[in-house]
Amino acid sequence: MNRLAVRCTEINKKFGDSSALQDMSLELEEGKFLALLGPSGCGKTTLLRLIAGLERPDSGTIEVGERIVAGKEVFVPPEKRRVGLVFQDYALFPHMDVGANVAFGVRRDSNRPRRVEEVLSLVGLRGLEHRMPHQLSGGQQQRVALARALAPRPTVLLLDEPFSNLDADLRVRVRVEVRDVLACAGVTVVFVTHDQEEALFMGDLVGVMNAGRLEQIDSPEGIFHRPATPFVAQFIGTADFLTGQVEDRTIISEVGHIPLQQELPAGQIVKIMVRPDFIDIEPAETGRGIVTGRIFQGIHYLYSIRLPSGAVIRSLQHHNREYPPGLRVALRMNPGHRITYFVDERSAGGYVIGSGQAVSEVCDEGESRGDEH
Amino acid sequence: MRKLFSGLVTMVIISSFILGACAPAAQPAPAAPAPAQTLTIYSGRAESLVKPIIEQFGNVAGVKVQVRYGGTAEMAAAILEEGKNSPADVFFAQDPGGLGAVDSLLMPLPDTILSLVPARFRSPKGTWVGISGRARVVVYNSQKLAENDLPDDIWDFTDPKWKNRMGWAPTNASFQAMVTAMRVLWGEEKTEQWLKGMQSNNPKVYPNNTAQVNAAGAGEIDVGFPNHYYLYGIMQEKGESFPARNYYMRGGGPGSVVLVAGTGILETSKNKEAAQRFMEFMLSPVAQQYFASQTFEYPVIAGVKTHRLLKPLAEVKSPDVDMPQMADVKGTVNLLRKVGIIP
Amino acid sequence: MGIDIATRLKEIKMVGGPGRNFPWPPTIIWLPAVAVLLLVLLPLAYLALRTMGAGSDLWGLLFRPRIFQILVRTVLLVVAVSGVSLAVSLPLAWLTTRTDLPLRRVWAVLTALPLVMPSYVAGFVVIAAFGPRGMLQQLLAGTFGLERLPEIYGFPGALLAIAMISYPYTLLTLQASIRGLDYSLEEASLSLGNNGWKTFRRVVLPQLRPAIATSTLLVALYALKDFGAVSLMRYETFTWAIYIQYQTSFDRVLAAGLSTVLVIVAIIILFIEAYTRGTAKYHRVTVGIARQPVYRRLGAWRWPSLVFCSLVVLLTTVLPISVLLYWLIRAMVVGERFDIAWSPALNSGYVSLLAALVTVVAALPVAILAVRFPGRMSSFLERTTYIGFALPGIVIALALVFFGANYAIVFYQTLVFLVLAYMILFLPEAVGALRSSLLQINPRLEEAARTMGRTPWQTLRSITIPLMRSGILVGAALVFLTTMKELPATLLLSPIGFRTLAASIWSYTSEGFFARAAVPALLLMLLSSVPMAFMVIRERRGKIE
Repeated sequence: MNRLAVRCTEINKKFGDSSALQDMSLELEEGKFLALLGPSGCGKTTLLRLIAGLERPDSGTIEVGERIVAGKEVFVPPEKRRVGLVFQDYALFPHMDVGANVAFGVRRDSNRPRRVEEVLSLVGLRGLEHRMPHQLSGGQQQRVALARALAPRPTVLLLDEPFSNLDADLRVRVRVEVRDVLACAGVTVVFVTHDQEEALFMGDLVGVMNAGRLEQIDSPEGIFHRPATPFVAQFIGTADFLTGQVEDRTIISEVGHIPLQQELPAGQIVKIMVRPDFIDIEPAETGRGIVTGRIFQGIHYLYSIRLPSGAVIRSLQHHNREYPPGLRVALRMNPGHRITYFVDERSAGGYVIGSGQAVSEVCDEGESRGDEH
Repeated sequence: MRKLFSGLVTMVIISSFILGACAPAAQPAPAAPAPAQTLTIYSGRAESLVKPIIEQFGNVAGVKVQVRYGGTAEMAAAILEEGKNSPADVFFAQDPGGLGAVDSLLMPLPDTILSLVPARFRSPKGTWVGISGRARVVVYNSQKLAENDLPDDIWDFTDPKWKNRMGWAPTNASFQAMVTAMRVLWGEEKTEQWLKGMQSNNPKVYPNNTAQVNAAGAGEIDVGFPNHYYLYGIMQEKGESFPARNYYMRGGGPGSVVLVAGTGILETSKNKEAAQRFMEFMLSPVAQQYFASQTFEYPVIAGVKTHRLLKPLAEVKSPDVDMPQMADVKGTVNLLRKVGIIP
Repeated sequence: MGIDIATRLKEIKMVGGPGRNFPWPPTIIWLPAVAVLLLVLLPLAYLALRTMGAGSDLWGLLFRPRIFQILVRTVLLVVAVSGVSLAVSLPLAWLTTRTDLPLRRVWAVLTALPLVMPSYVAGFVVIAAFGPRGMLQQLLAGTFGLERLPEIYGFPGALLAIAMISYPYTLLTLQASIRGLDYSLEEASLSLGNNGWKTFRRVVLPQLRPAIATSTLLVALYALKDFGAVSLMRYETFTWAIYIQYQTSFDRVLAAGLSTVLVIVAIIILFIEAYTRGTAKYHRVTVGIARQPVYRRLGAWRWPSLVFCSLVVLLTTVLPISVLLYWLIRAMVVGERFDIAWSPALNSGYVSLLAALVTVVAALPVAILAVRFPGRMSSFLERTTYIGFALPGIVIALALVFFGANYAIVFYQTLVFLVLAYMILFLPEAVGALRSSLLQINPRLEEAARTMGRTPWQTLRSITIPLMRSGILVGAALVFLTTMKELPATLLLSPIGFRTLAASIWSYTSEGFFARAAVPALLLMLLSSVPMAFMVIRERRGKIE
């Protein structure tokens, strides 16, 4: 195992009466890229500020580069942590030109001009040393902020929603660039975003946070396919939930019977997650679902289907399958997807729908559809 | 730009330290044992009036003189606050009230000094002596009134015919000394009636004598009640056509009482010898002549001529007021408060 | 091991960096701030000492209908002066910073100039101009045969004289604040279909709220403590009553009792200000860098605007200077001779410069605590600095005389002590200006510096102070200008023989030598206009990076 770049152990942080972080624990190996994802107010920015030393934890310890920087009786001030931080609003010093901004954190010696040149080349801004921040475009400001944070060669680089202020086109382009730059710099990165697509794209690891807790930390695929909680399932991609009941090593639900891989007590109520691309629909007089809504997304239609229990699930259909609202449809499961089920809001396992394997009377083989994500 | 600015800020900080470190050295503390012949005077009298004669003393006596100028009240308050550590050797006050306030901190003066001044111009306890005299007068607008239009006695200004025509400066120490004289000469009850009578004539309230005299000249008021010499200072500046003149009460009484500006020596002074020489000088004919001719005041020693513009002191029908009774400033203030003239 | 723990403990104390909820600000901030607090509390300690010795008769003297009546008058004056100065300053500040008003810089300097006038000079000037036999009446009598003007003495005169010399507090702070505004917010508002006026009301004004509150506070407290003008205008205020106690009965106890009441009034005003100021954040939260302002075309408003500026300048600058010149010329005609004494001018300039520097340095930690570490302690500290400003100069001066002569005799009546007195007197002028400018600096900038290896001290030097430049300049200029004209502390605490312009003016006017007073008064205004012009011009250039 590589050296750890960041380790947080049971951190708690309160602002006044409201709890920003609760029992937060986290480990990140050197050179890895962690994307922290969560709704606004979930504590992800607070976590960055704690790692950077801009806030003190109420309890718990934080290590950076295997050195305790915050803990009982210990607090290393931010300037001694070697942690870089790129702020959401960049926080470029308005009274300094680009060169001075980038040189700001670099030790004053003969190598400084070289280092400035180096990082500016890295972000593709060489030649703009003498511009003032207000003379730069948003994307350029963003890259100056990045170069400035990289220049002192931090052990860990923290990025706080660095793309949220860029327009959509630019954002996609810049994030590719930034990913390459950071890979090139070989720095450990913790990256905060509320955009799931960004998180899945950028992170070696994705952590999902909710209400001051870390719900799950895993590879992007792991997060998507094996969500640890209904919140994660819902936050990454689209998910609908149905209630099922355990009976004889099987979960009985409105979308079919799902074989259980492990023991659960009979009668246990479970929550089943299905994604729109799991579900195929076909018009059928005897179908159990009724189309209640339809959203045109270009390549696809996203249909809302009401089930007899009143639960509504969504189904993704190719744009050539156009059904009017009110139509009665039969449902079946597309093979190859993993249905996750939850007990007490924690994942209790999953079941991959096999090709040709009927999980219910309404399911039969269907053509595989493109993954939305 | 940035360098320049941070340089400036650094300079600010450094210079403030330097200031902290050097200033006491550059400016020797007054309380440190000074060379025997440095005299420190707190003067409630204005620099423009007394500086020349004080300088002359320094030259004649070979004494280095330092003077702090300010209002008499402020200076008296400062001496009280300084207490034992006062750097002052001599207090030169505008009025007996200021001297009375610091009376307990003044040393008893030797007879050689006290005997130079008539009893009515010095402290009953022998702690201070008057240096120059000033008479209470009525100042009137000479375009509107002639001296004959004015009553014999100050009491008569309570007559309703003076309603809305008068001004006074009731917070002024000399005015209050005049009220004290009234209490001595008239008694509490009559003084209170006079004050009430004046109040009902709605006099304009001025902060000081200068403002009063100016107002009389400007015709804002017909008559005012200042000390005599303010008029001449103003005439010096504005010319003798300035339309205001002094009137000394024909009938005498408290309205023409003669008061003094005086000096005392602080008990804590380390230069008592020089201080006494200063007082002797101030009572010498040279200094007395200076006050008579330059500040238009009355000399307090015999044999010095008054200014040609002034009515000689002998002709002023000044009442004979007992000095110990004049010391009761508190009683006067209480009376003024009771009538509602001062807060 | 022992060393290790010691270093760790030190590190814990070093926790700093601006942020929310920090338990403890860095030592380099709180230590000087506490030192400043202790100094500022000296006058209160003095008042406590004086009133404690008093018996029940003090209460009898305090709770009289007359005192209550004076209190009501005082409040009336404070409210009126605050209102007038805001009404004058707001349009002036806007016109001189954001429009294409012709000769903007000249107006900016001229409109700020009245601040340098001592209050008793303003009083004399108003009487000379508008008094019953004043210049205006004589002018009108000549042309229209007018015999009587409306009474200037009392409330109108006091209002005019005090508003005249105190409105620049509001003006200067507002100008600095308007310059610091993020112009893109205005553009956003304009783009949302709000016209210029609506934008001003809905976008600009709310952003100016802290500046308005802080500067109006200064004006209100100034009106509260003024003595010179109210005594000449025969308007009985609390400060007047306090002076009268010293003057008439040398009654330090009653004066201290009245001062204590004044402190309470000041505290109430401070609470009102805190309430008005609000808790909103005013630094830019948006991304990117503030755009350069565009100077708005006045168009048809150009002439009314010019007339407005001219009227203000005429009343507050031209008129006083003309009156002073008139006195001077009239006396010269009579044959008076004048010598210009340069040493008081040099002394005034020197000591005011020192006071400005020291006060700004002292104000810096207080402002940083108040803005970056908001909490009960820091707001208590910041508010406390205003007490010195709210009390009559004589009370502060006597408090320092007491402490100086009895506990710091080495420094007593030295420049150190004098500058200290000025600092206590004028600290809030600098704190307010610094505070307003600090509010407009995004704390993320300081945090960014910290994460790039800068200590709190280095961050302060390289980021915070350079960005606060405009506030620092305004604060220093305010302190400089008010120190130039300060009187009671100058008279009582300056090194013996250290003559200043203000002392000269006072000395002449108190004896009625107006013409002689005119020379130093004009010199004072002339000298003060130099840093004022420097500040206004430099300020404008400094903004463009």
